[in-house]
Amino acid sequence: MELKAKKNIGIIVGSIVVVMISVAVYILVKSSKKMEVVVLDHIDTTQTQAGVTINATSSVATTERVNSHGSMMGSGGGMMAPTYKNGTYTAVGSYNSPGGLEKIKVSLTLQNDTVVEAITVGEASSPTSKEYQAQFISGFRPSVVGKNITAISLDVVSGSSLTSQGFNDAVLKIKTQAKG
Amino acid sequence: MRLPTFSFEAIGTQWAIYIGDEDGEVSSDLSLELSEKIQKRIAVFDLHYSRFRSDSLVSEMSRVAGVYTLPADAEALFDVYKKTYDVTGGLVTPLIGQALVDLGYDAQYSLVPKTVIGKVPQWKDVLHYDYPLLTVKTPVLLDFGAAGKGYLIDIIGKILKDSLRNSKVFSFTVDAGGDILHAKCEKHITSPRQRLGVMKIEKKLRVGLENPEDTTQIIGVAEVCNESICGSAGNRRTWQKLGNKGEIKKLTHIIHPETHSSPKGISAIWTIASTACVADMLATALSFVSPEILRPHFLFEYLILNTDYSINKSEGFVVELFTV
Repeated sequence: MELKAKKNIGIIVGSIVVVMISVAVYILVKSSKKMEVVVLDHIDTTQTQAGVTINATSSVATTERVNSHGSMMGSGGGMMAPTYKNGTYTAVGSYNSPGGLEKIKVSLTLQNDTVVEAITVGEASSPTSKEYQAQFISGFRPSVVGKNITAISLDVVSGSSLTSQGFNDAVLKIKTQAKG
Repeated sequence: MRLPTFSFEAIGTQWAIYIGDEDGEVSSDLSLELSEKIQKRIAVFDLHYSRFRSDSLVSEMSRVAGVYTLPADAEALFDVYKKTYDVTGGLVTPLIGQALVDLGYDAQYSLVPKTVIGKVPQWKDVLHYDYPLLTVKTPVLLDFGAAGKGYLIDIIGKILKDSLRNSKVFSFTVDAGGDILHAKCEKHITSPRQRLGVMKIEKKLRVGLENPEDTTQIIGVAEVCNESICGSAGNRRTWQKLGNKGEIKKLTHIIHPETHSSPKGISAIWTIASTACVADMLATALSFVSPEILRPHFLFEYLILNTDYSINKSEGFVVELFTV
């Protein structure tokens, strides 16, 4: 599990970073105004594909490194010292909407290179902006990872059909064997 | 996980029936009786709707055109298919049968696609449905893979409910290869203190959501109660087809009627609805259309796991997701 989580981290951080950037671009496209992101942490500058310059936190600035970890998926991974400092990284973005200046907050909590939590908080004031923010906040959710099935108390498992019962039996066997 | 009261294999999947919980267990005699009753009922269903057997009603329809009088259990099934066909603009269609066979998803599971895949006909061109009559204008192979199993689960649920009516046990779970119907039903009882009381089981059913890419894992736990949860994922039934440009296309049993390809970007879909028929149907429908298109027509909750492990879900889908 430890290794699995380690391997997934690249993808998780990578995709969340991509989502953060998409969020920025999304707002920009929706409002058709130049946006400015105010950051609370180390400041760096990255260039998005849309050619928009945004300021970002240190966690965003390391996008490339994270992605290169992600692309190494499957090639195995050893125990490494955390690449990122543990903690919660928060960025507040502000942008000009037709209804005035609007804000949105994005928070990432990192623990040993794992995104433990990712939250966006819409802070819009105008109804239209609230609606737009709600739209992409509902589409922005933390990525999930798998947990070993024997570690969780369950009644049944739902997934692809065909062999689910064989799977349940296998789990029962594993549990029986594990108990010795 | 507890052991089922009884389990068996039917219609290409494993069935596990759990009867009783905090309300006790059923006797082994009743368990045996129910097991037989249920398997007999499934055999009848299979004889009507399975395209995997040559003696079924749908196989007959694929050979002979004409006016068919449908069996009594066909109405609810055809109704939900017609409704979903209309709502999805024909993307979810029982007329996909021949295309599935041509792509290799046939009775023998040959999984070898033919070079020419049959065009999926329009409902109005080949069928006229007016229960109890179905006019088959041209022989056509119907496929009830999207909701057939769910509907059968509901039928089994009805059998269990009726059979347990006079028993002190009233809760049950039907698990057909990961598509699940849970009923805990309240029961009115007479207690010494209260003349008439209601006995309830408060515990919800904890359903692990299997990680399609690693079936020793789950990505979260959903909780359902007096409802059905169905899952749709292509991971266990995957084969390949060469595209027009020589590229390899990955196929699953969920096939787009126009492009003959399987949906990309989605890893698994779960739906919760009051009946397994609707939950099963919408788990397939969400492969082709967005939830907003289905929302005005059906009461359901959904969770979509994308191939990048991101999640889209409705607010009412009660689940604990693993984000670490």
